[in-house]
Amino acid sequence: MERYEITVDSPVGPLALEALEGFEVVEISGGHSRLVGSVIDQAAFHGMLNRLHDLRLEIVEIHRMDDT
Amino acid sequence: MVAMGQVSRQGYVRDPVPHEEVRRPRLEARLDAVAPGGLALLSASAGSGKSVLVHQWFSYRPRLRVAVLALTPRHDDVVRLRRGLLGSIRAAAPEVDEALDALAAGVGASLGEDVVEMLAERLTTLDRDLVLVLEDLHVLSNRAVLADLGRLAAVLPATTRMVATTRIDPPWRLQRLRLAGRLTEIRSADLAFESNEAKGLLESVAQRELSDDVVTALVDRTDGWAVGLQLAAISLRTAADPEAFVSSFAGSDRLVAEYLLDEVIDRTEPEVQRFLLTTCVLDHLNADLCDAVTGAGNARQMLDELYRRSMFLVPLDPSGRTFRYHHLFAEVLRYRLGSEGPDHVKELNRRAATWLIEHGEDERGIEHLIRAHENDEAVRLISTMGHRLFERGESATLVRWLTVLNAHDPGGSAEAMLGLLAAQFGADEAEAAMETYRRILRRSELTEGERIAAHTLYSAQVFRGMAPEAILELTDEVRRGLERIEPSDVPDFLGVGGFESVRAINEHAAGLAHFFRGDLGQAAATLDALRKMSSLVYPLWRIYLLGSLALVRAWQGHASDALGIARTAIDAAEQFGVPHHQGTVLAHLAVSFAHLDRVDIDAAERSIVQSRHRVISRPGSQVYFDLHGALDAWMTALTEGPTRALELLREPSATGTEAPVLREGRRTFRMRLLIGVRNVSGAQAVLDEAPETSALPSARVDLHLARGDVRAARAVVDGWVPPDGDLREAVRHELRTFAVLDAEGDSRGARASLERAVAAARGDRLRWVFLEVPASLQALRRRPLPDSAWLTSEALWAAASALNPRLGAQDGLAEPLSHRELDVLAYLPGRMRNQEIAADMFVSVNTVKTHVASIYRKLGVTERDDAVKRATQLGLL
Repeated sequence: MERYEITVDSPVGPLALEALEGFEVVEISGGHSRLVGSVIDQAAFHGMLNRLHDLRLEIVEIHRMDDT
Repeated sequence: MVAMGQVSRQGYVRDPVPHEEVRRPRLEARLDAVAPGGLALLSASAGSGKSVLVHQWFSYRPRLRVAVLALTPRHDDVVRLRRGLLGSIRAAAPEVDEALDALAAGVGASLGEDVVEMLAERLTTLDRDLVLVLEDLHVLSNRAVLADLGRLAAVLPATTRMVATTRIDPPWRLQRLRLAGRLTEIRSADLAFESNEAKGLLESVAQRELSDDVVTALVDRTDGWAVGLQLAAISLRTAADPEAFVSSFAGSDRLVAEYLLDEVIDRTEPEVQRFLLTTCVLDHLNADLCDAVTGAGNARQMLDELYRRSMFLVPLDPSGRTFRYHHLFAEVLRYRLGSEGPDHVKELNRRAATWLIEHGEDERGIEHLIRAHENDEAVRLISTMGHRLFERGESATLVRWLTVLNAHDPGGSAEAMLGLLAAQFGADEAEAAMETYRRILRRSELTEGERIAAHTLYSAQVFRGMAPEAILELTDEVRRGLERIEPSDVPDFLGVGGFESVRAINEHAAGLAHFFRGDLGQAAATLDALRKMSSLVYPLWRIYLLGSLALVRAWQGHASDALGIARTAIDAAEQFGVPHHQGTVLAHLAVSFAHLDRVDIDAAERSIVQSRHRVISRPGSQVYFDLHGALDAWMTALTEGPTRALELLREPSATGTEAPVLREGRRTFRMRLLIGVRNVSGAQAVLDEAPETSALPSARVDLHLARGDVRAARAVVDGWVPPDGDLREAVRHELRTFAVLDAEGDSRGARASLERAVAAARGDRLRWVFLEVPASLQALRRRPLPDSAWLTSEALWAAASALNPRLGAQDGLAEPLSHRELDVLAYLPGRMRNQEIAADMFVSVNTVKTHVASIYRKLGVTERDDAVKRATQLGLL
């Protein structure tokens, strides 16, 4: 599994979270949301980025955390 | 591609040159284990060996039935996708119902939920299991289409398994499939080559033995990436010292793909390198096309040589004449080519376009013209051949081309924008079309002819529920405009524009607008005049026109004429090779309406299937949906009874876009059904909701008669003049005259009216109108006319009884109870005395007594209690 922290430019609602399977919101501040979660590999990660794009969430920062 | 000599179910022959091929039993076993109705998702980066694995898997299992669809960006056009998908399924499983073909037409942005469900439903009927292979999901950028494919994966029946390959996980909800044990995921880590598998691959490509150390080092450095291993092996083929190559590769910190591709390309002879760099602009390679682009004459040998060397050439047809480069390889080559300057790339694309267009491959040619930025030439070509895509329903592809071209050259020709406008309407992209329409009208150098053409195309909104009055204003303006200008002033668009086409489209829109407004006579006259226009040569306009005319004629009750005209339209579509085109929808609808007018339920059911498939695949058209809703309600009334039909007929929740002709039809129909089930107050409520302008004469007469108010019924009948040419209304009027005369006690006059009604309706076999007045059928059953046998069948009587539940109840009586007597009968179970009943009914006590006496006599009883008992037995109460 690969673990990521992703910051997007707007609050993330429960509906969006459902589409972002495997991620949870750990912090909402200053109009930004910080999501943390795991994906199985790069293909899944890119799928996740595409879903953020579909939801019109702009990515501000991506941080790869220690693999678990 | 790991194995170039792949075989596939479409019948690619194995090349005579022996090719490396490494079987991967552990992965093939996982594909074997996919559950019925399950999905195998192969998700991994380019060159991981997804496709090769899938092709190997089914190639070595000849008993599997496989439908393969290799997706390309062209499949963002939903029509192409639908056609590709259904085509591959039908090729593999011919027993799937032909009705699927009709689904292939239609437009819209997505497949649509209904289409997905219908497809899944059809798949349940397969004789033998099927594997549906979807390759390269990631190339689709149309998210709606992608979501629909995911929906399909979720609802597959047990007869079908899906195998999908992609570089990026699709946005599918897989949780349910996963929990149900129906999901098999094969990912990068699974596809990575282990040392023992890699050894076989490396040695067969390198054509030499390699030490375990070399193999292990390469697997380490490439992480078992299939293409990486293959690239390394190609380099090893010519490397003098494998150990030296591997140690320099392992020691380099450059990107694996970059290092290896550079190695492979640099190691090829300059001549081969030149060939690769020139031909990489092509999506499909064949020897002649390659020669045209390179200017040399050696493409045949080159392609053979590349294929022999496993240089990422993928065969695309069974004869091995057409290839493409492996995606990753082509991308690297194009990147390198790009550094030689954009003009060179454009020149190569120009050469490709020239060859393709000379050889009749206009569509591929246009793609290259667009890449070469040859805007004028591309527009010119689209303007002459665009109609072919329109005929195939592929307007979305036209939209894509013309959108790019307009972006390249925003001030470009009006012709290109008119083409775009036509294509957007064809593709049901109404909002984008509005924007294009406005942009055209804002152009500073717009000619009168161009303005007229734009207005005409805009009148296609008549199919989307635009108010008929607004359409007629537009068509009037175009009509006046066409008189002012020379025919040659009207521009062409998509190769089917010009003066005559504009006139035909305009008159057709006007005719339909008259129909939707409820002016059937004017509609029929306008469309009929257009039919006689000798200059109407483009078959599709003719098909549209005939379909509309058939619908109008059916609505007027001229069933035979409607069926004849609709048949002509459907035959013409068949001959022109477009049997599933949207232009045939109205013809199929007309056939259904005509059959229902004749109460020929079997025939109606067959034709409804034809129109339903076409309507479902076209979510953008309000009018088709409303017409189909009317058909469904009518059909339901005849097959499932009035209660169910009334549920379907509730006022539409949508905005007031329903066409007046449909709204009036709906009200009449609802009132008729409500009166049939003796819900008189319900029928009154429908009338109360309708505006005063709503005529609804037949329903008003029925309502008055149901209340016993003969005088009011008489007034409506006397003031009612059926429009000229409207046979259905004429027969309706005659039958209400019959009913009123009957209620007035003039049996001779009633009989004469009935005879006139039968004579008028006989030629077209209009039975439905008689069902509206069940007393007329009763009268004919008691005393048939010489030519009324077509109205006295038991089946028709059964239909009448189902629509009027109390009707059959009087069958057991020698003499039926009158309307008024039935009203009095309804009071008898209560405790009211005759005096009270009289007061309640606003009649004299003597009248009530007369009715009661008459009821007793007809029921064969002498007391009130017995009358109630007998009436209950008969179902009169």
